Amino acid sequence: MIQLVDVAKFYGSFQALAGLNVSVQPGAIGLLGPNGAGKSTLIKAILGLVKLSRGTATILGMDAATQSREIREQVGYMPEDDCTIAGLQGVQSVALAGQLAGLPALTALRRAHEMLDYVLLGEARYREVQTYSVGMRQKVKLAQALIHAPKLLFLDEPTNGLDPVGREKMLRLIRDLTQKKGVSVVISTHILSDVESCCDAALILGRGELLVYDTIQALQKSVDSSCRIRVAHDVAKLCAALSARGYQIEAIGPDEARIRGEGDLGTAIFAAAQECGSEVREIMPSRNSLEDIYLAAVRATEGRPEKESA
Amino acid sequence: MPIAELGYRPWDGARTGVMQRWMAITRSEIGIAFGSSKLLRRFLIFAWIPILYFCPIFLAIGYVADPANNLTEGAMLTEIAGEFLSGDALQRIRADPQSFLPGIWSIVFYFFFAYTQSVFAMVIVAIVGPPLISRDVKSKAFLVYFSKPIQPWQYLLGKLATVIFFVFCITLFPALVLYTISIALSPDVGTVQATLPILLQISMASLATALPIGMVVLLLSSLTGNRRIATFFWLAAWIFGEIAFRVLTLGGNFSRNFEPPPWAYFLSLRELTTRAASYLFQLPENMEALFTNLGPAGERLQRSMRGFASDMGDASVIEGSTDVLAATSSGFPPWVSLLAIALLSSLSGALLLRRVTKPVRI
Repeated sequence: MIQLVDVAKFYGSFQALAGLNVSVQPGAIGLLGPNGAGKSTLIKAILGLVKLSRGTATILGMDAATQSREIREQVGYMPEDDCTIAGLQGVQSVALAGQLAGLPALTALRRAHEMLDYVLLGEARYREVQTYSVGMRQKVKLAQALIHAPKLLFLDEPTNGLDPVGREKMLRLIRDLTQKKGVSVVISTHILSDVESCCDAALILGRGELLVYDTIQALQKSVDSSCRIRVAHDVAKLCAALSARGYQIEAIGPDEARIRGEGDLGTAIFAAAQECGSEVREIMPSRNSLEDIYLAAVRATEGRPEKESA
Repeated sequence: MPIAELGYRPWDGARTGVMQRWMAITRSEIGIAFGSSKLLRRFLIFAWIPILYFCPIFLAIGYVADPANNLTEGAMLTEIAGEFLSGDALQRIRADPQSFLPGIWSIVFYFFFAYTQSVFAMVIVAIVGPPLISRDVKSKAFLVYFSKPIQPWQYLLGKLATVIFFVFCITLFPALVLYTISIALSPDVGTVQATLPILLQISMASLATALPIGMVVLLLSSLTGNRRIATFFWLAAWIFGEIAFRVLTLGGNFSRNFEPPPWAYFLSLRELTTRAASYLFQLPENMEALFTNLGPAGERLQRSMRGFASDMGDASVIEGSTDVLAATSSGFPPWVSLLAIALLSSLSGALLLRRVTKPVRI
């Protein structure tokens, strides 16, 4: 879906993107990174809005340097900023976005209504966009990004400023788009739980470099052999039995503990439980949280000197 | 809940061409301007009032130039024409209307552009122009436009066409109405053919008025996210430029030998567009031909024109001069005004492109 080969962007001597090499697969991708990591620059480079200093970016099989117009016909972008066109009603604003994308006026108006239905903006569509709440504006921006039926959608901080209910609705829409409508989505955000809840993969940038790109499932898989157990009553007896078998034990609560060690952990737990008469209620393999992965990746870049342009 | 919610559906229809995309911006901006400004709607009506002044002139010229019309029957129209045409001049025009009418019409249209509509154009641009880009600067709406498959020049063309539309509303469209009335009262069909070039002159003069002021107001609008500041910039550029021009040409009111600096009119946008209009309406050539053909009989016409120009506050009109628009031919050759307009528009356009693409380049 997105192939980046040695993609670099310099602003004077500042390096915004430092030779990115990655091939992003279709689906829902979380684009993560601290402020100034190069996320916005990468999105603008993919849309052909900024010229790359080096390298090539191929999006949906099209070269970003020479086919930016064709790319923007197939790609939708929901910016982080308000970006409202003052004086227009919500529906007019979405219809205008459709016309700019090349939809005939009547089709644009019809689809504007469809998109606003889809993002659940009701009669408020007939109000001027300046009067909208943050949540309504996010919905209008999503409808504007969707109106020309893009194959790939970039969402910049889609849940920014939303209350929990609004955030959940937005995430549900994103999940629906990726899972049922076949639209690939790249979500640029700082809210890691959003990525965990609706993305298939995460791409973490730091100082313009690619730090991590993998599926969420692979990233969350624990590197060591450990699991978490929950028993019916006192976990201490089971811990003692497992400890006697040479496993490392970390108590989490009165009835929970984390077990580390080599070999078949499941068999060993059940054997120890039978021995000490404990009743095992739950065994869960340990998973890395996205937050741990993110912090580890970003901290690894801290303290490193910034690269200068050649 | 919508009655017939269709949900999200893919779309793969034929896309519109490049032209329709910038026109979508223009249509949208025109709608916003009409919908949000009562002042604009009222001013547009007000700006058509000069037609009430010029229409009787065209009616009178059309009536008295037709040899088939009886001058005594249409006493009122004859009286109006008599204000600026002597009896001898009338007889000469009636004898050969097709030789005189194109020249006279062209001159009257110039007056219509130069002395009333050019001022109204500056005012309407002050109402319509400043928010056009400053609004997008404030809300960072550039990303909405440029994330779609349109180029920055299409965005600018869409905005510029909005200004041009409103300027045309008070220059081109009323001028076309005047032309249609004039044609309706012309002595014969041959007049249509003889005066066709005037249509082109009207269109070109309207464009020469709208283009530079449109580009300059958009440039000023792109400098700030506050429409009031952009309006102030525009009014300051217009009024201070006008004052500077008037001061530099003030000596013309007192001395026939006074020579204003040839570059003086570059300071005033309105004067620059007026000069361009005089060139496009071939004013000096038409006046020379008219007065030569009329001879002494055209003296009253010259006096009327001088009086009209003076009434309109044109400081370049020298009392006693035989050339009512002496200043328009003074200094640089007339085509220089067109060149200046082209340069000003190009420079403003280049700066505008940089201004509007800056937010998305970083």
